[in-house]
Amino acid sequence: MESLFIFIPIVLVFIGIAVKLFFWAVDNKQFDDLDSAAQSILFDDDVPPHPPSADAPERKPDNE
Amino acid sequence: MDMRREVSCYHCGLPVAGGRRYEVTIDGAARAMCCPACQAVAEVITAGGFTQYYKYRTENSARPEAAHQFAAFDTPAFQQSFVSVDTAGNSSVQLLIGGIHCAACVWLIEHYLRQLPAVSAVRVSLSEQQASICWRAEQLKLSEICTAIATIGYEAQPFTPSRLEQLRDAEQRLALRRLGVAGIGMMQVGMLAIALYAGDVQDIAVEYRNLLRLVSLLMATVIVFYAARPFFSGAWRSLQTRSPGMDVPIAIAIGLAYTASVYATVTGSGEVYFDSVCMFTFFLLCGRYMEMRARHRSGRVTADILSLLPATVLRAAANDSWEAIPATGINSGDRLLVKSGQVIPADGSVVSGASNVNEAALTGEFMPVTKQTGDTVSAGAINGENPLTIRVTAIGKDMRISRIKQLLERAQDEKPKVEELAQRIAMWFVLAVLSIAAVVWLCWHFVQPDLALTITLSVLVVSCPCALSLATPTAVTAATNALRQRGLLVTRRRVWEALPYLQHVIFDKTGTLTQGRLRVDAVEAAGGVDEQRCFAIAAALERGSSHPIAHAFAGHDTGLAVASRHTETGQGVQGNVDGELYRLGGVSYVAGITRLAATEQTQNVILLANQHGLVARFKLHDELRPDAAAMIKQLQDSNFDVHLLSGDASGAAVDVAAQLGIAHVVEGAQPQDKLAYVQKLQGEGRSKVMMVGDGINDIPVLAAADVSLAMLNASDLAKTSADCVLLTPSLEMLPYLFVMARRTRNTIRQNLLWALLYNFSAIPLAALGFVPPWMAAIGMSASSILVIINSLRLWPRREHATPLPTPS
Repeated sequence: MESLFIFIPIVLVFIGIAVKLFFWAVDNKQFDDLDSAAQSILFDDDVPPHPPSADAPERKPDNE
Repeated sequence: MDMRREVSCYHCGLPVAGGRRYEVTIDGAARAMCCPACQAVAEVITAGGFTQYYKYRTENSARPEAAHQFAAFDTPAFQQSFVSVDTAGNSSVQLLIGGIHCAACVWLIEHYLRQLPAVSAVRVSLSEQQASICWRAEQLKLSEICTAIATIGYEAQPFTPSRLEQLRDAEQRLALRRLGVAGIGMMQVGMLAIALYAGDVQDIAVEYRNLLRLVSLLMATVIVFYAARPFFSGAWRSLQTRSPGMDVPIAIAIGLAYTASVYATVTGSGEVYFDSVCMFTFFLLCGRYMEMRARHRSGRVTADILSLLPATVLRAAANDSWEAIPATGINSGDRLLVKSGQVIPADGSVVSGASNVNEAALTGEFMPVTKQTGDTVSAGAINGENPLTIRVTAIGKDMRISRIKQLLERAQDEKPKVEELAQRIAMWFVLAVLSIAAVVWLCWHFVQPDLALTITLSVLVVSCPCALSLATPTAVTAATNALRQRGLLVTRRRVWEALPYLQHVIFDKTGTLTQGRLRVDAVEAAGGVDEQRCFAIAAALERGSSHPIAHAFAGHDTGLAVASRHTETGQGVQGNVDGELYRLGGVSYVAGITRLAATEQTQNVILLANQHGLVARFKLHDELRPDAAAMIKQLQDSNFDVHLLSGDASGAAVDVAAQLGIAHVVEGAQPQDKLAYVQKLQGEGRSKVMMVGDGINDIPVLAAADVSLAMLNASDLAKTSADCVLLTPSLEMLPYLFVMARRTRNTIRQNLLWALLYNFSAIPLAALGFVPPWMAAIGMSASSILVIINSLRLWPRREHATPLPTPS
């Protein structure tokens, strides 16, 4: 049971880190927009977007 | 078998007029587009490889507006007020983006901008409709970024967050930090509490018990002094103004339970309540945070009336050309060019040009008003099909739109105050508990001085008004959530207090009871031509026009060719169809090519004629919302007085009232008339009034009514000044709001009754010294939990997506 005297201070340090992380996330606007992040994972980013070309939109038939 | 009628634009969803002339190949299939603007936007999106946007969007895109000029964004004066540059040379700007409505829009804008070479970071917020962009200014101009956003169909306008908005952001962030600290702390203290409770049963060694208590004390101290601070400062403020509100009992509860626990920890005796303190704080903060978030979500604070005005304008320069300047630089007497589709930036008079101007922002009416040389135009109105040159007569505070804003501010000041039931009880409760505690201490002081402190403490703990302070917020949170899932956002708590006493419900007409768009109600073919052909001719003549009348015909276009079309602003349109000259418009215009009967009626009718005589009469009507009649009937059955207040003076309001059976109608009402009407009703027998509206002209009334509700398509400003916002286009929710309000009030009453019953029956027992502290702690938690469970009955039940078949 003596281990409590070591573990509890360690826990306190971890809580401190957790709170610090949380504050960082809040200041970084991580909680400002909860709606779009939930859906953005649906978008498939594996297909690299084509660079926009100033000339006519001549594109390869990449569908199918 | 006319299939073309059903075709709607793949991009914006509006009906495609005539044969398909615009199309874009998206994901291997040709998609019809309604106009070159939609086609251009869709082409850019597909060419960039962003077709996923179409797959995941939840609504149709906005129809792209005419291109704006962004050149003025690059002037130094403009840059100074909107763009900030850091030491490394990175510029950043905040843009307000119009037209964002789902996560797909966010994805599209972010990814499209990120591939621009000079852009280093883009973040788009769906709820705020803002983008913050970081880029290298020497490689890319701000105007080019805005143009890029315009090419994918959104409108961008730089803005600096207003002072109010910055305060709001800071407030929200601080509240979230407090909530987080309370949450994390509550979990830790709760864990230690389990060990302490188990220890009580299993005889924990005193040194370990003291260690656990000490750690709990440490964390509870952070929670009480950091997370629970708003309750203490709120209580202090309300005591200073001598109107003790709900914060006072909360502060007393937290303060007492915490002090008693600290005392127990220091002396190593008695019982600790740190877990209750933390849990109590966390739940209350949760309720407050959710309420705040709902309030902020309802609209941007930047939704100032003046933000409706354009950021840049075209001003006449010395050498007969137009220079783009920031709107802040307009002076009285300047000559400005307002192109087609642009918002008029200041009050003025027309110097040259003639056009139809949409003054919906000021009057609420969607039918444009014809403006010619010499006529006055107001800031905030939208110019129709022709460019206008205006001479500025009023700017800033003197503009008509600013006067509406002043009206709004006055109405907000005069808004009747709603006193919450719980608040009234709280004041008496606090006084009663404190005096009882004093009497108890005095009595025990004479009977048995050494027990006086312990017993007084247990009286205070037992009477801890946790349940009392949770009674209202939990019920309100649950009810708010239930309504939000059904599509109605309640943003202010006062709604719940005022709704059950509501007597009058006032509706605006255009856009509220009606859909705010014209429809052909009836057609009378007069010249022996069949109705189908009349429609086809009319639709062909109106093709390409943005006038509301043209939209009424858009679905009937069969692609007839029109030669030498000519539009007479404010009067009508003429053109050759199959070699015959036709005119479509009002009586006086049509009478220009043929003789008409003198009895021809003029209200809400447009005529189609050729040189041989009248061909058809079209009766036009602003269509009622399909659910309006049922909703009004339901309200009247529940004994509400229903009123209709309209800014429209054409007699249409009386027609609508007659159709819906509304007895009290006022038409042609200016914003100040509407305000006076509401205040008169409020004066009569102190009855409560609800206003349902959408336009800017309704805002002063929305602010003055006891409860106000803004429609889905209302302006941002109307949404921010309303107490509730509809999130769906249907009016069905309104009667449900009243049902929910009644249920919520009942739940709050039950909660209060229970809380008071518990407190006042426990106090005498505690005063006589029968309640040991652990029993007080259990009683305290049990009464709070009971209140929470009772409130949860209002929580929305998960409904089946498809209704189960009902056995007949």
